[in-house]
Amino acid sequence: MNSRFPPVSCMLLILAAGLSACSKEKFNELIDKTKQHVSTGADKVKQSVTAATDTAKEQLNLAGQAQFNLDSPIVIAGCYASFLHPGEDRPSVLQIRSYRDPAQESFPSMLLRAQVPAKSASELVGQVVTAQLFLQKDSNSPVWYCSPGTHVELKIISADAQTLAAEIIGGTVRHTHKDDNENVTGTLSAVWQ
Amino acid sequence: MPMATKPQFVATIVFLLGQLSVAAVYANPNHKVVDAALAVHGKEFSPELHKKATDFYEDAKTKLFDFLEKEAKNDVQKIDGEDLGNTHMVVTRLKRAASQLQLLGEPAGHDFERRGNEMHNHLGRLIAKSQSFPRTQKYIESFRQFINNSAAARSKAILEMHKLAMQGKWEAAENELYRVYDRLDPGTVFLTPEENKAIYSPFSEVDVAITSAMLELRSAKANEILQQAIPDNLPNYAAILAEIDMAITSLGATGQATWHDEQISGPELVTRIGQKWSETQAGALRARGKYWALTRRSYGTYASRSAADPAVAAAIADPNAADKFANDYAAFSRDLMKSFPRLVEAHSARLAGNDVPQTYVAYLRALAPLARQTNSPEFTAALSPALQKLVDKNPQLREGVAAYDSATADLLRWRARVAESHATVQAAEYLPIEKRFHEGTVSNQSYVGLFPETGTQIGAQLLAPAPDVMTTAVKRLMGQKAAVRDIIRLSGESKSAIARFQDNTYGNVPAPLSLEPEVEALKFDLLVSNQAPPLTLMAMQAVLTAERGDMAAIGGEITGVYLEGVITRFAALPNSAAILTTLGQLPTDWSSGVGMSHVLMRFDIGPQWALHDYFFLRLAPRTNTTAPE
Repeated sequence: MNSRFPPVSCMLLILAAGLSACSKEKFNELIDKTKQHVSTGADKVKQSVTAATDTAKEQLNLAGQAQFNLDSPIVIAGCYASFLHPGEDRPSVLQIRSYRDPAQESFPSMLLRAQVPAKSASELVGQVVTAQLFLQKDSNSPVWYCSPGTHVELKIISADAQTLAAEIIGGTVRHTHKDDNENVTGTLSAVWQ
Repeated sequence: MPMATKPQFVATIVFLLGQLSVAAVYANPNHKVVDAALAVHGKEFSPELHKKATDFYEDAKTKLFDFLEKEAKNDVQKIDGEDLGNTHMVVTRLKRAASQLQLLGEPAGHDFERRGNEMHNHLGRLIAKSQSFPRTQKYIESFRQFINNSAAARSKAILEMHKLAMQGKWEAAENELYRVYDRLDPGTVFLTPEENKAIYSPFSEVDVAITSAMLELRSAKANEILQQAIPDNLPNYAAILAEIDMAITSLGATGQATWHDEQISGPELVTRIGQKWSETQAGALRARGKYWALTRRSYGTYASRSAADPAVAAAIADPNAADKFANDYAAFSRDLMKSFPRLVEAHSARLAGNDVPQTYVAYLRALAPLARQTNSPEFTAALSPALQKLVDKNPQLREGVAAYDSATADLLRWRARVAESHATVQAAEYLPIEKRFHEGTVSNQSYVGLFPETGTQIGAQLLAPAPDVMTTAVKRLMGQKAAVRDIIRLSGESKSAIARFQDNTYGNVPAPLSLEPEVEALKFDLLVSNQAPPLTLMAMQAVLTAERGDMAAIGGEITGVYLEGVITRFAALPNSAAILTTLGQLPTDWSSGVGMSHVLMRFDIGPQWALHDYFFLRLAPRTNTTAPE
């Protein structure tokens, strides 16, 4: 999807192409109006550009991706990770989800969360951590989740300044409309939020 | 008024014969004793009248059962005519007590009158059938002789009544009148209209005088009692808000709040204000209940007499006054809600940064139960800026709260989604309790219940005597799967929790439920331990409600049903039962006010699953359902 407004440079080129039909004064007036239009719409542009950028990035697999193997494969474009430190008396939380913030959630959607004793994600590389997974195909469909006694095993493959790669190597989830546990595996390639 | 059909009454008798023959252990008709009397709310006259009416009812019922059994076997000739006549007289006495209860605004009186009318209906039929049999003929002849022999005594009695009336001794005159009538009634039911006219017409003048005078006296007394009950129960909203203001001022000035001559902390003040709020709500509910009793009682000719208290007089004159109780209370609650953020801000201004973390958590603990009891997003939203100001005084705490929120808010959002998804699965099998209530008590061709077969009606109303309604309702409802909502445990240690009042129902669920695995999992997810408490109001509310057993919904089988008068339930609501309704508002289910026939039903639920805001738990193995009758 393209940004709502063409880049300013393009607009100026378009204007310049019509220069022969305009006086120089007229041209400057148009430039001023353009800049004003751009600056007053700047905030809106920024928001929609961010959303559009995220979506564009997601479509180009630049914002991470997750894939889960359940009854059928579920592929989610968009995978954002955070490493949170809620306080000295609490473990750190590795949180991976398919949206940057809940207001931007789209479906299929997921939240993967692990409480870890590490101070940074890089400490976890090569380790397998216990995590809980929430996964929903669309807003009205049932939810997969980890009930008490079930969890997924998340192996941290790599972690650098920009990305985190992990794999669900085992574990089970429950389905809200069924009574049994299902095995789940998957891969996640996340960008840091 | 619509009467239950004969088959319905007979069905009731058969059902009652199958029940344990015990005096009503439970007040209010219920699944164990369908013909227990509706309870009364008044403390003066009502308890004595209630006992009288109940005794008359039980006495007449026992006799009537026997008569109907004989009728069913075509053995009417075995019924003693004098017995029939005496039973008729007992039911007449029952109906006198019923009308006096109605003057006092007691729904129990309305039901007793219905029962009495139905019994008189059956007795009339049996009397007509019995008249031709020799045994009854013999009784009628001996009664005619008595009438002839006692004519002089009756004239003397009329003179005596006249004398008492002239002296203004109306109660004594009435006692004499009823003494004579109760001696006549058993026999005159068998006589001809002409014979009865000759017997009763000499009494007509003194009867009218005594009846009118006693009605006026009783109604005026009832008026006085009910009118006084309104200001006795209606809280002084302005005084309560002023008291709270003073306490907050003292908290802001000294760091401690003065509350009823006691020095308490800010978080403790939150708890005390919450308790006061709850008591105030109970008072408002009682006052409105008494207002309903005053203005909607039967024999209301005297119900609109001018009131001694101008405020009450104004209320009686105003057709929207019932709404005024709810509106005034809602305005009070809105003002009271604003005091909580003010309280936190006033305290916060005095606190040193080091004292903030502990105080902040203490406020969360005190505020979370109120957030649950009000179920008000406005209440929670209004607290947010004040709590943030408090947190901002300690930069380390501010960081910690922000990080904690980031680590837990979205988790709770997903948990709520999981819980909601589970709830939709249960909805098909466990119907909402108000739907079961309607199903169980809606009228049809062979049953008159609490709702008409077609058309709409405000609330649930007695359309037939309670025993007839309950006989079928109990069969239809017991064992049905239903879901109740908004369950709050009476206290942290109580053995029961209440599904709060809505749509003419409320529920009773045993406590505690076995929720440990889910509670521990929730606390784990929320990073909570003995050293690390929840750091947001949302998380604190999640943990406290899970630990107490306050649930969003509970599904299970109906194990008990209890019919109550709406007026009675609210006019006599004790402070300890204020939890029955959502905190901060009075129920507004009845747009045109509540009358004597309005009822509600309490359900006991044997829980099979529990739905918290953030988890779902099945409590018992799934069983197959059986089709209802």
